[in-house]
Amino acid sequence: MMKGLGGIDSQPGSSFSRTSSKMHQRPPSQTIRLGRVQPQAPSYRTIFCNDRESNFPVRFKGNSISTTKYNVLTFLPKGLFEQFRRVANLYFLSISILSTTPISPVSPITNVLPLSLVLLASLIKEAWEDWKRFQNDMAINNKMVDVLQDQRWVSVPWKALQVGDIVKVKQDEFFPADLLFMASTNADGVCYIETANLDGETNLKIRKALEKTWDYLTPPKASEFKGEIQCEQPNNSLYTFTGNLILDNQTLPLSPNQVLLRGCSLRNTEYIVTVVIFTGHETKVMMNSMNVPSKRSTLERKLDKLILTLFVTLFVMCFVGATGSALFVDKKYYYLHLDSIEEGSSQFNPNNRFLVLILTMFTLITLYSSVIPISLYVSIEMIKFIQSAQFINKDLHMYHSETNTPALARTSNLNEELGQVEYIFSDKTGTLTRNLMEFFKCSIGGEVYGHGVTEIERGIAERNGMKIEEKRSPNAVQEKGFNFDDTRIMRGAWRNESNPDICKGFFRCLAICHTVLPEGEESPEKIKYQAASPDESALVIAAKNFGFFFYRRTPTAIYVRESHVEKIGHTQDVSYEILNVLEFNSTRKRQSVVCRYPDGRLVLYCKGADTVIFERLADGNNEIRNLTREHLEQFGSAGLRTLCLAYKELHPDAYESWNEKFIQAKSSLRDREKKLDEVAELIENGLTLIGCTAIEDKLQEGVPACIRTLQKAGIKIWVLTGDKIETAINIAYACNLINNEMKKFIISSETDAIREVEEKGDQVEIARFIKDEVKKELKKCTEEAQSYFNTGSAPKLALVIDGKCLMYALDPSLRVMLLDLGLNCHAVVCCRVSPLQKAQVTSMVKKGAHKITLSIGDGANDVSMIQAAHVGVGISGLEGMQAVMASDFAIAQFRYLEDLLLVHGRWSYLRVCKVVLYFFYKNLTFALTQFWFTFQTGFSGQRFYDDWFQSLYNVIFTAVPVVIVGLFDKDVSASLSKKYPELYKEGIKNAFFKWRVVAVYAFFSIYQSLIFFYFVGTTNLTAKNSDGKIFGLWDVSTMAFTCVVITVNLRLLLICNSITRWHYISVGGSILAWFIFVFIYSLICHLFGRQNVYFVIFVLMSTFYFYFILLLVPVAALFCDFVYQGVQRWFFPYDFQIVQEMHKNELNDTGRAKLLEVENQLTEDQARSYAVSRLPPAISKHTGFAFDSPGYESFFASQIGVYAPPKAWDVARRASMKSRLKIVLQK
Amino acid sequence: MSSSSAAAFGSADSTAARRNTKRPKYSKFTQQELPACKPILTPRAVISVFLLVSVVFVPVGVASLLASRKVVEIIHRYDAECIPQSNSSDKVAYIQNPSADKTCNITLNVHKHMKSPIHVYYQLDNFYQNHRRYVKSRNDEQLRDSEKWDSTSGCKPEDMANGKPIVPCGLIAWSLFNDTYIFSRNNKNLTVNKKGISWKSDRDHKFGKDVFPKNFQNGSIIGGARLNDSIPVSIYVNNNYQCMYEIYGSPLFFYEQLSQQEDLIVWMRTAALPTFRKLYGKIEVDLNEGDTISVILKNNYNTYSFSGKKKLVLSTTGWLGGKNDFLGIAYLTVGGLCFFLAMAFTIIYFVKPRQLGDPSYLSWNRNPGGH
Repeated sequence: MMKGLGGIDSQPGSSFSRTSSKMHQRPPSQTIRLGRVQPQAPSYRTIFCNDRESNFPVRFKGNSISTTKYNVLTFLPKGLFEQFRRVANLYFLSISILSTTPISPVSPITNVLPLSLVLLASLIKEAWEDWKRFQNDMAINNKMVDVLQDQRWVSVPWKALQVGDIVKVKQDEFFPADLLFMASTNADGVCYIETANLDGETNLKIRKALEKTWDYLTPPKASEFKGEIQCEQPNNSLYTFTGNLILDNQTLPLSPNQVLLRGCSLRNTEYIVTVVIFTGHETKVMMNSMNVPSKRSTLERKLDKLILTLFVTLFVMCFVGATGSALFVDKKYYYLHLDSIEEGSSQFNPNNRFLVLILTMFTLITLYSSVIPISLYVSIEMIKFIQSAQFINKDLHMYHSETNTPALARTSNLNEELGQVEYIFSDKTGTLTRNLMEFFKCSIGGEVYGHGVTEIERGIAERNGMKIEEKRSPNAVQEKGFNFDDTRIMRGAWRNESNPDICKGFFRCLAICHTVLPEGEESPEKIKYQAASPDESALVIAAKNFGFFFYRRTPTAIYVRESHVEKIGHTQDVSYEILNVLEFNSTRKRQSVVCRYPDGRLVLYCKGADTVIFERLADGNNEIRNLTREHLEQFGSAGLRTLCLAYKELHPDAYESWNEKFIQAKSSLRDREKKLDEVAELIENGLTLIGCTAIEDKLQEGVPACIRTLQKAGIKIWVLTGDKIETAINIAYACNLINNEMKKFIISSETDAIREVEEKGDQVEIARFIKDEVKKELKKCTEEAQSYFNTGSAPKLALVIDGKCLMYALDPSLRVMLLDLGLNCHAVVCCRVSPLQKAQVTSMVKKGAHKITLSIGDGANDVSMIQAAHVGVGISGLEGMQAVMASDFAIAQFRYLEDLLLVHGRWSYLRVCKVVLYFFYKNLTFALTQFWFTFQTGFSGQRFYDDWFQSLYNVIFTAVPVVIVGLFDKDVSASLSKKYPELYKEGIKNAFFKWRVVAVYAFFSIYQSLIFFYFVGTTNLTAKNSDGKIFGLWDVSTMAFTCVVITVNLRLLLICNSITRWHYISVGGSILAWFIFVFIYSLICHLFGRQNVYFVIFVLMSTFYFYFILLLVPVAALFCDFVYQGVQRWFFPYDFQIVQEMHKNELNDTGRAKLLEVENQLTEDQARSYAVSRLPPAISKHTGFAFDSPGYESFFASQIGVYAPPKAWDVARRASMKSRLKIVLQK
Repeated sequence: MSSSSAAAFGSADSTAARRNTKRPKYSKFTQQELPACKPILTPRAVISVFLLVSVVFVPVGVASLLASRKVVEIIHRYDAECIPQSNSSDKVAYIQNPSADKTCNITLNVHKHMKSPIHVYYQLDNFYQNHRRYVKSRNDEQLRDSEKWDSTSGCKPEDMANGKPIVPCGLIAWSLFNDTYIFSRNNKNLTVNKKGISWKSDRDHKFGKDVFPKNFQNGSIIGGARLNDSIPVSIYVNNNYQCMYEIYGSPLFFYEQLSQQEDLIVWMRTAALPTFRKLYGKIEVDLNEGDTISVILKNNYNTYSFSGKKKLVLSTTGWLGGKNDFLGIAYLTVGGLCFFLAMAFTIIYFVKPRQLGDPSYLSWNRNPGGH
């Protein structure tokens, strides 16, 4: 049917119309059908709706996606290529190639075997990950969607979707491709979408179809749809779309308002009918997906330096050996036949000593190749993977039961970086504070209502030694967003207050002046509010609880169920006609609604920041004004977020004349926004103040305690927030960041001098002046800080700086001073900062001070900061995934940082350090025994050990125990790690991976290798059993190897802080593996064409001497280590060692019992927040009333045609996508 | 009734919640609470470990030193004295002169009773048997398998002589040591048993019983000993008679098979270090204190080119092998050091003890408020 409909013969008319309308733009479609395939013009694409055949020649890409890196064919070449991009692997590849030449003293197996095992392990990991991606893709590709076929909806998998198909999407389904919105079951062709997957915003957005297409809803109607879409080529800009729909010879312009992007989902709409425009990889979301640049930990970069040092060591060793060889070769050693050098082996030609030197160089490189620990990277990767997947992700201490969120390590690269963090940059809202706005107090007509005590007030009181008891009335309402208790105005009691009319106005203002959407059943218990910010929904919820229940919104009216207005207990439904909505934006800082009462009265309700409202109040009634101002300050100091409410009665004539101007401004094409602001200004004046609201932005659980612990751990915390300076300082006080003993430096742009200059309005002058001021301030503060340091008894310092000053302070000329000052402070608070500034501050400390930084945040505005820091942590579990998607670790609560850093980070750091150093030690020791042997062989490069011994040394005999240490070693238990946060300082100072530590390890390597070689070497000369027979080279080397394996494994136990069963098993197993191997191998080695070590181990074991050596050598080798460790612990103990000793008689962690305990003993407050969290989630966005939040987009903004500014991260992403886009376009 | 329904509701709710929960399951592994012992090197532990080591090591050291002391060893360096005075200016020329008389008489005095078997070794010095070019210059297959007589890979330059493959090929075999010693006491010959001087595994598995030397030392330069052809033939090669005849020309005369050439087998178990001893044979009678042994020595082997020493060693063996004080001294040293350290630590422990787990040692307590 579809085919028939699309065919030219069955529908000549439509085809004709299409052709004629497009004649001037592209060749008629018939030519295409005749087989002359015309490539589509690159600047736009033409889509024939509901006509697969016409679309066929263009060959749009299918809708199946593939995010896999490899396929069956490319896996091996591409995977190997990826592996050989690592220097260590490439090095071993070249060594392996070199060892196939006669120049090599070792057979290729020595290097090929470890290399191939390493490659195998990496490839298996890659394959597994890719397989998971593939399965994921398959699951997505096989999701079902309804497509119009033969006049009915047919369910097909997503991957079968083609451009031009007509698709039905039902409620809560995801859009399978980028779609053009045609028709909706909603009355006026609108639908609501959620874009959480795209930008992390969970507020609903409205999309509106073109009026012309509203009818194509049912299958018979939809199959008649024969539109043609001309639109831009696929691109990655999420917020733009240009195109036209050509329908019945009419060209209708399309805007982003009609486009539904893949990844979003449909909400609040039964179903919609759409046309596919972009499919698969051409959808905007897919074109936006890019790999986040992977971060490498600082320790790993240091490790690179260590490897480089090893390369230098290797070179020096080879050079020494090669020089020796060149000097050694001499014809006098006639038994070597150096006079008759055969072809191809000029390595020992005494006549060309330079060549000898060069060739021996290569020989020795292959011989000593084991200096470079090839399996190090793989082992570390494996350890870190298990650390993150098993330990961090599954830690019950970091599981948040209220939101059902465990911790998530999104990368395993940075585990040990967590153990070295020195600076934490934290967002405030949603991170330090709960993402929970609760209506807490209000002031109506000069009277304060609400008994609540904020955590901040309590904190202040506690510091002053007072205890505040909070009285709650037994029937106080408990609801998310409403934590208010005052019987004076609840349940209609406000009627008995001194000014009930003002109360009524206050409640009506709350119920009417907002942009909230109700959702669900229209009953007070079940309704849900969709709000742009939780503050707004808190206000509407408050109105509901005061008896003004807003339950329905139409484009023109708001319905409110008002109780107790006429008399107590009486309820009536009132509809207010909404005439105008004057939107929030960052300059206006207020929002107004003009409404018409049922009785025809015109009222403007306005709410906004105190500063802007107070400016616009009508004269008179100064009493309320002053009282309210007083209350505002009171609320502010309690850490509450305040808003002023006001109203104004409008005269119909005045309104009409204003409305004309408004409509004019609304339809103007240029500077629409500015004009709208100006028009709004005309009506928003002469307001009457009603009162103000106070919303509590609750502190997250356990934040103050966590911050105190982190500060004790030597971590400095910087708070970067968009809030006002006072709020920020309040929060900083509340969470213990700043206290009264600290010396505070405040650099603010809110000084009289600056304001004065600003009022003059000369931008250049303002900039110059502020910069000078900032410079002066900085200098003063720095000098003061310096003087404190000089006097010795320095108080702790804190710096508070606001965004505007920060802008100038970040100027290259002042940056050094700012950094200097900042680094000397214990706490820094930056307020009123933009997302970009957050990132700038972070990278200033990261790059300027070379300190390890961690950023933690929960919102889209923290993304840049999270990406800029060494470690990015996202707060998960609440709304918004943007920060989590950009982060390296995601935790549910700020307080889990304590576990993440002090426990997991510290252990990871400790373990990785140990693993690296141990690898370094064991490989160096092993290679050095070879090196000493070289001196005894005339520098010929003769190998000391059998090939298989050498190749399995790293792979089997010493591989597993070190991994066990990397997983299980812990110096002190988790609870002690948190009890003594100062232990963390060892990580900050990098105490365990300094060059000094490396040097100690190197010293022991040299010492031990000398012991191995020379102690075992003495066995060469005399008989070793009563038979008088003499050992040969391979007997000696096997004995030495046995000693090395045993010692190196035992040495591991010596560096362990805790020894589990697995340590014993792995260490014992490794030694046992060596013996089993050598027993078998020495019997069957002749099968491999080599009989050097034939029967050697049995010969050795037939002598007493062997056992005596086996006891002597490991003890003598470890003797030095043991003395070192004993002396170090006795005389120069590390802090963790003292803590170990203090608690050595305590049992292990109490474990599970303790955990359960924690969960069962919820405090009252926790119980309440738990109860609230169990309530059905209200979808909201948390950026709050900070009007300049970047993610702000109103529901109505698009309706009234206000341009929604592109998001900061979208811009950033597009910049980085530029090059890729070009490639796409070129194709 | 109502309470029971509420309970039922509650349980249904909780099971549903449990099913949906992302709460990680508890396990000792994931919570990192595996039972572990936490060894702490407390002073007491350190001292006891030192004491333990010294308690074990000192007796072992004494025992091995005694075992070594019981071994009687006579070492006689003869490379210099066995050059006639007239040739001392050019030792190399003398040793390379095939017509010169290499016989040399030396006498050894037995200073202590030597119990049989007395092992006769020769010791070479500055001889790099472990040189890479030397070590690999052999062909194991050829030595083991008579079929592979012509495989001489790795043997260059001693792989072919006169166009035919050499068995055994390679530098090691080519440079076989060829000094010989004839011992006599009071003009009575002391028999030197040259059987069983090599490791059995070498004889049985590395050198074939049906592999015979061919074309050996037939090259332009003779590096060392020819193989011994005077050992009676002990194995007849069945059904190969004809073949052998054709190859060697004489039906009555056989070269000895390699597995019986113990001098070669000993020589080919290359030494680990450039100074080494090789077993020459065994004297199976006791030598008494004061005996004078005269040795008729054929000084054939050239160590003069590279100024290597040659020594003749007569040694008895104990249960720990030949005379070697190293092991005893090493044990005693380590044991003694441990004992000394144990004492030293004990003194410090009593004189200036460090209280375990003293919080004042914590860095943040030592310099409070420090940066």
